[in-house]
Amino acid sequence: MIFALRICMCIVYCLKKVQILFFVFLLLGCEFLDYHPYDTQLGDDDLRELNHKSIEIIERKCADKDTVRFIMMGDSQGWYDETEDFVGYVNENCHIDFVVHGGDITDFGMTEEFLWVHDDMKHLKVPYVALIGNHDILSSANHTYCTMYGAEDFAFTAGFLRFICLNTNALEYNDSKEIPNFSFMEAELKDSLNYTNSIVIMHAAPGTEQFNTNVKDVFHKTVCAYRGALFALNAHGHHTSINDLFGDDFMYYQCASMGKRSFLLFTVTPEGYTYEEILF
Amino acid sequence: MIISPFFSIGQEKKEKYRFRPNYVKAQYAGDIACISAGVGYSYSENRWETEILLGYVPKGLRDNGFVTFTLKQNYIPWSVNVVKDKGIYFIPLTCALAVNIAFDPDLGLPNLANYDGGYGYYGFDPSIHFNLMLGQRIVVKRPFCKKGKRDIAIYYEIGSNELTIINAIRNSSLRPREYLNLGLGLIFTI
Repeated sequence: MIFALRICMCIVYCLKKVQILFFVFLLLGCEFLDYHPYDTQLGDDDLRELNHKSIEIIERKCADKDTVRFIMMGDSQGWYDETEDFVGYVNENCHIDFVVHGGDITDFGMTEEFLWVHDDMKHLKVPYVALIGNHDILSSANHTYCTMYGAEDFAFTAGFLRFICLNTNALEYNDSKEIPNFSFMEAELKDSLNYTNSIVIMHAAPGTEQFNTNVKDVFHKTVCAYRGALFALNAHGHHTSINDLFGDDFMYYQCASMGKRSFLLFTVTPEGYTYEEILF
Repeated sequence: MIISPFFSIGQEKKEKYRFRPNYVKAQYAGDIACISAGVGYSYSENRWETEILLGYVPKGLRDNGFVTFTLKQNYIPWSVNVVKDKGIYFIPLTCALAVNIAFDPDLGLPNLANYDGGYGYYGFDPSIHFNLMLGQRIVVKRPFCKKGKRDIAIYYEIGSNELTIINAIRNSSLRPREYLNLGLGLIFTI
């Protein structure tokens, strides 16, 4: 007790001696007091449930549209300069309804990486939703993702289109979790919402090392069973490619990483769809 | 320019208590834990210090609280006598390199046997980090202490870990306040 009191007296004495220095750094430090690279402090309640907030805007703005235009980009991991350039380019040159980030937001799964990417993406003039990538699961960073963006599997409606976004990074979970989440996928099959076409989005496509190979055929059948299934989108591969993975003319479009300074822009109408790869 | 008299008591007692640490310290934040505390040894005219710290990141900052262990090596190039005969010193520069290990099962990578090349797939272990820090200290004679000359130091350190440094090198758009972090602490000689 006496020792503790002495320590307290010492601290007060020292604060008096060096108070100016101390308070300068206390003020400065408020901006960058980090406890650990993997602590999940976001520091701001506005940074929670970002997907939910974006989906509200997308569903409201696209409700009566018969042409939906969106961008598929992904793998911003480590390419934060390029992500900033992407946002600037899209704001200047693209007339779209929303942006989909296909996952691998971060490189090392660190909380500050999530924050850096959102610091860039929040400047988009349109809302964006982000999927979870395998790098966003490292060191249980999926908890950070879930706090910041929301559920790993989610769906939303943009006009006549239903977007079903899935976590397919099975390898990261050591078979401890149902990945892909067929319960969620089947619930989506049974919904009675008012839409005519579906697009499935994921980070890792069937056949990649992340995907649970045992279930890729069942997965594909479920994807194709969605009402008016048009095509599927994925990231993870770091280069643009268009793949007929199962030989049935159902296409999986893969966007390149931000490091390649490239993204895919889709225009979908009830009659069909077009896409283009844009380099920035 | 003078050599720091800091921790002189520890030096005198070295003969008698060979393995007795020269100081205890406590630190807040600094990218190694929320709160850290530990002991240290100073040597080579008090220019070098080696210390071990145990830290804690409480529940709430992650799903489970976890303990960290830090091995830290400090270098103090010089110190300045601020107020003569009052025992107040300013150390304008401290350089530190630390290895930080987190004891949290959630921080490991998944079963590496699943990956081609094991660690090669991601190339790092999230539970082990290397930190580089630069800082400053103010050292004063410890008040209310009856056992002769003891010092107390208040310090701050600014630094970053290796993964964040990699990101900072790769991305010029990141501002220093985004990749640097601050640690504040106290040191008591014993």
